[in-house]
Amino acid sequence: MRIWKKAFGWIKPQEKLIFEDKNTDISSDKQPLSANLEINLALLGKLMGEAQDLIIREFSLGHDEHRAAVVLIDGLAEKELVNEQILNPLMLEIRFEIPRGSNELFNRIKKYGIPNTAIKEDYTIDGVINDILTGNTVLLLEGVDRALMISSQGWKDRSISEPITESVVRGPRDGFTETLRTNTTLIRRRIKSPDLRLEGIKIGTRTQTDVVIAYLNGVAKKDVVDEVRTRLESIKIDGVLESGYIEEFIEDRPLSPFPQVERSERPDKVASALLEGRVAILVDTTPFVLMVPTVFFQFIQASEDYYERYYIGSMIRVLRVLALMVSITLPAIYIALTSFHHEMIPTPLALSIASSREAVPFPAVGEALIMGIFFEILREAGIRLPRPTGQAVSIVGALVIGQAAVEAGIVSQAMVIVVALTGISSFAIPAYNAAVAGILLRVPLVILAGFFGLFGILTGLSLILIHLCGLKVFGINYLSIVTSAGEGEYKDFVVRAPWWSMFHRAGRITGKSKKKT
Amino acid sequence: MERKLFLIILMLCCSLFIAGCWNSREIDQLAFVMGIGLDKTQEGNIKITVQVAKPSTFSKSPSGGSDNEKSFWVASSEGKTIFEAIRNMATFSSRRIFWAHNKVIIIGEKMARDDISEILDFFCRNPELRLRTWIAVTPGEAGKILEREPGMEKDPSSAIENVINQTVWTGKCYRVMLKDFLEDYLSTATYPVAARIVSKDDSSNIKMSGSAVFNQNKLAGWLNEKETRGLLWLKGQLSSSIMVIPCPLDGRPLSIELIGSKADIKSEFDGQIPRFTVDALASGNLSEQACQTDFTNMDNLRKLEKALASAIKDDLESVTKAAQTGIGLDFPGYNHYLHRQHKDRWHELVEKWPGLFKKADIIIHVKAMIPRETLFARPLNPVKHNNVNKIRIEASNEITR
Repeated sequence: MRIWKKAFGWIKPQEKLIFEDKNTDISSDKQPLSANLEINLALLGKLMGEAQDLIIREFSLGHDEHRAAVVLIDGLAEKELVNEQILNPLMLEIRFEIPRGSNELFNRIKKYGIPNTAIKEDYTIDGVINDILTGNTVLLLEGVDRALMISSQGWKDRSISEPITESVVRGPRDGFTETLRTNTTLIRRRIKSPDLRLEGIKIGTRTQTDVVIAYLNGVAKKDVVDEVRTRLESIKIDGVLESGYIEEFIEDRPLSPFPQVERSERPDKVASALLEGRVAILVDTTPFVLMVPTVFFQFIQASEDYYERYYIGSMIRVLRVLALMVSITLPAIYIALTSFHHEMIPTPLALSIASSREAVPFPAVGEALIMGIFFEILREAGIRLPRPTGQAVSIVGALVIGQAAVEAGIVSQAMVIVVALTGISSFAIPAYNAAVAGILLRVPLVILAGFFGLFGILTGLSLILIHLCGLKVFGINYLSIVTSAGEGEYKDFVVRAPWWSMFHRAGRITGKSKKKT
Repeated sequence: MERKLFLIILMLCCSLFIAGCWNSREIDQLAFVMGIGLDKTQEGNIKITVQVAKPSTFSKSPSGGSDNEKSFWVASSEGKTIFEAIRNMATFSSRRIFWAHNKVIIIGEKMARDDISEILDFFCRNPELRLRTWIAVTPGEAGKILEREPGMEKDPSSAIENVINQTVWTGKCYRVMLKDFLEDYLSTATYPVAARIVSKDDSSNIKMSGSAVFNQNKLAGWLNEKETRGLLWLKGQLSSSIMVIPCPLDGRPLSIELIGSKADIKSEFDGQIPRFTVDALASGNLSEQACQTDFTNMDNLRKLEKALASAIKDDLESVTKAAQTGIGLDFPGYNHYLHRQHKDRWHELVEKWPGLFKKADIIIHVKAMIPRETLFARPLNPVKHNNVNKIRIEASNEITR
């Protein structure tokens, strides 16, 4: 029993957070600002650990001897902007009488002194440091126990470029970047509606990552939005570096091999999800945006299906369904047929398989597992290696291993064909996470087929189907459309109906099927 | 709870290893039987001959053996029963004999004359053997047929299978699958008929020619190609054939391809003796002519249709004669029509039907049509300078007419 717990105990989702750190000095420190500039600056410097990129610029206001200081992080804040909008007006072009009282001075500066769109006040050291760390600039005045925070974010940023993981032949070519603001802009540009709601939330006790919940008010189901908010708020983690962290926290069934949250780096895809009534979760520092609720068949749909004419879009979707089936079952079926049900193969094919398997030392199931593992290793190596080397790997993999292994009689030609077909089919599935999840299903099916033949395959597929039928994502059946469909929902399934015939929004997501407005 | 779950999973995992693989066989460990030949030996034993495909010769790769290597292997073994003979095969076959891809069963004449009930029982009892196998009878020894190296195919059985498939174009052979043969065999009133396969003596090829008629479990007699075509007519299975008939005007041969064939059989009673009227309706295309007759002329065409009808009538009469006086069995199945059309009297007749059939009156009417006159071309007639004028005159005569 103990071994069991040791081996599998981690599977249970933990209520208590492992990462929680009681001794965080940042969150517990609610120390107010002092009226003394020296003390404030010293405290800031101490709390930041005299960071090498921390800039503290002390100066005097105009010709007066009233002391002030700006604090910013080099690289996060745009220095040009600080010079032009803070230092220049306050040092050289000050346009008002400097009053005696320090608080009066602070108010005047806030009112007349700084030509910047976003400024705000804060009273605590903690707030000041948070702002500095997000790239804002802090203005501190001698004799004032408040700080003025001036928006000055401007770090080096990747420009908008074509998404690599989801390229299209036809369709917009912009992709999300690592900057949250750019990403929300890309969505705003597509949906110019006041109903587009962007709710901010910070996740990660140390990373303080900005997360935005985006949805269309009045279209998205309110329960789902609330549920998303609740789940996001209950996340306790020290750091969020990618939306994958959040994906794992908000999944309904963490043990399922099936991905339950769709992700994309295409703004058009996210915009279309919002229009369907789904909720998008944007995370700062990653171009991958999450979309919930997700159903199974979304993984065979690509944004291009909607841009090409509906014949083409539908045909490609049918192909993808085929590719999905092939990628999950083909090796298993091959093994079942060649080791149990020889009578089901047409005679010429049976003879040709038999001839290619002659002198192969392994049983078909072992052959399939070996080749399957080699294929996955090749695929993985191809992804991780730098581009030029990656090509060399594929040449070595395809030619040397494939050809030589067949000629040496270690594997049969038929198996190489089966493995290659399976691998290529899995790449025809647009969602990479779903394609990789296919491996998790393929291997057990191969083993079952090796032991029990078609009976084993059917058992395995039945188990998968039972699991899928029970799966719910944010209150919506994972297999919906197949299991239950509302008005007009079949129009956007394996076959996509033309746009002029799709009047309704899917009721399963929006709560009730209603006409598009 | 968790303990229980753990135990259940553990038990399931164990069952994976104890239950698995009991009939798992790698495909390269099998000997694919392509054809079976069954013979009776002098001592009364059953001799089974199998033709097994050699997979290595079927691969395209250069390592797959030289061109001179035979791509099949013929082996035979003997036993008191079929199953014993098959099991005896394991004493010398390096691979497990696998029957599911069998294409054709050939029965030797001696075996067929003796008893085929054992064959039929075994072949429908064994799940590995398919009922969609062609069945054929050969005069002589069945094992010899399987050793004939075919010209086109790699192994004799595939060649035989294809030849049997081709017989739809000639109508000279009664092809039948095991399942249909069994149906006829088990039926109370039908006499099963199988294809007849012979080896052409001059070459290594085999030939499908005629058919074999069984009386229950014994071979009763052979039908030649002409009679077989008549039988196919009566059974409504003739899909195509070539009728070669003499030209009604100058006697030189013509070939007509049958494109439609239908026989309507009606029965009535003349006292106690049943009388059958066969109304056959044929349509054909003129596909070749050696005579110079112009069949775009309707009168000539009518004559041709008459000639075709009489040729078909000849076929039908020949098989009826074979059934009534030769073999003496109602294998064309006239009794079905009597049964269907005279349900009330059938039960008193069924006992004496074999005798009654020989006395039955069978009248055959054939109507033949050659439609699609518009597709006719005039026979090719080279126009030489010395008789151009003659032709022109004929042509002008035709126009004025």
